[in-house]
Amino acid sequence: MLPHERSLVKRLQSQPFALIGINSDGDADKVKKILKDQDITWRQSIEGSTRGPWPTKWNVKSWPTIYVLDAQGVIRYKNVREKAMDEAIDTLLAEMKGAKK
Amino acid sequence: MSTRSRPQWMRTTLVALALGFVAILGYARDATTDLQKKFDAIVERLDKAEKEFAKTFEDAKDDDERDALREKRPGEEFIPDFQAFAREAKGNDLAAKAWMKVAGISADFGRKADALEAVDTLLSDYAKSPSIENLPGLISRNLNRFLGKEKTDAALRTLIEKSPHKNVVAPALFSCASTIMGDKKASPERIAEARAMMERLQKEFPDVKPARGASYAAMAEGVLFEIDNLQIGKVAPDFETIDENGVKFKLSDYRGKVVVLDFWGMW
Repeated sequence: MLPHERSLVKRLQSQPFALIGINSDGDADKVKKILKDQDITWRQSIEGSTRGPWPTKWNVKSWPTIYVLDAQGVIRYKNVREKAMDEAIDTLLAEMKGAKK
Repeated sequence: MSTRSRPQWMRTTLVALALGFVAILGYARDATTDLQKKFDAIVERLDKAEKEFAKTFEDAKDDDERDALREKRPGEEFIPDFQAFAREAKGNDLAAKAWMKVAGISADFGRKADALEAVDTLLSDYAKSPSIENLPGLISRNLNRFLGKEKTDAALRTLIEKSPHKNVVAPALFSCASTIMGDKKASPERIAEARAMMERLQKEFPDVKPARGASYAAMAEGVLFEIDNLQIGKVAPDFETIDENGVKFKLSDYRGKVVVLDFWGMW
């Protein structure tokens, strides 16, 4: 997952795209260390544990759980990984370009 | 000795009466006590084996050694003991407990035939037992791979219908509804039915909890939130949170961008 996400973020750095990690490893200090060690550049929500506020509210029961939202905030894909995630994102980015024309 | 104490004869009589009472009770309970002792003995042997294994596992030097140990973990060899006991104790609630052990261990060790026999017996002979509160979870999480989709659903519905115990019905409702909702091919009718089960859980069993964690009703609330708000095509509900630098942000800050939300952890 991480290698793919690193290259994804790099590939789309100039695009209207954001990857947000909702992390359940611990407090901010612990997560910061992980981010540094793992060369993770994207923003994190600090949840403290798997029972943190966001995963609890969203009923997240399996890790990782993935949601892909379009530019209007609509949930368009769930739990897509690797190549399927790339395709999902590319489709949504293409939609945005199409809508502007 | 205090002058207020009872005379010797009175104390002797009281002790004799008490002993007699215990003896009568003991006699009446003899059969069950024997079974209980037998059952406890098997469980004790299993516990001991598991504890010893846990210790060896802790002492393992590396992952290779741990992998090798995992192959030898105890449990499977106790299946015949629990099966034999369950047959001997047929009709007694201890048999339900023994079949639960068989079901759990068989699931853990991939013993399909043993697992199915245990579930079938529990559903046909012990569905009204108070000792099967872990069966719904076992069915929906572990035994489902042996049972298949339809039988898993039918098994959970049997428990919902037959069990007089809220400690069984509540997890059965939750497991049944969760299984339906986890099925990507579930029809809108089935999803609606699952929703009704979750709502029933909140109305009728608000205080029933599993051994650890939140009540089934609270979990149902989470599931309902997911159905109502987190389906494909819905606008994701906004969420405010704090990032690794202590900065507050909202999901809605990212409108105008394609967003991937990744709930993750290294642990």
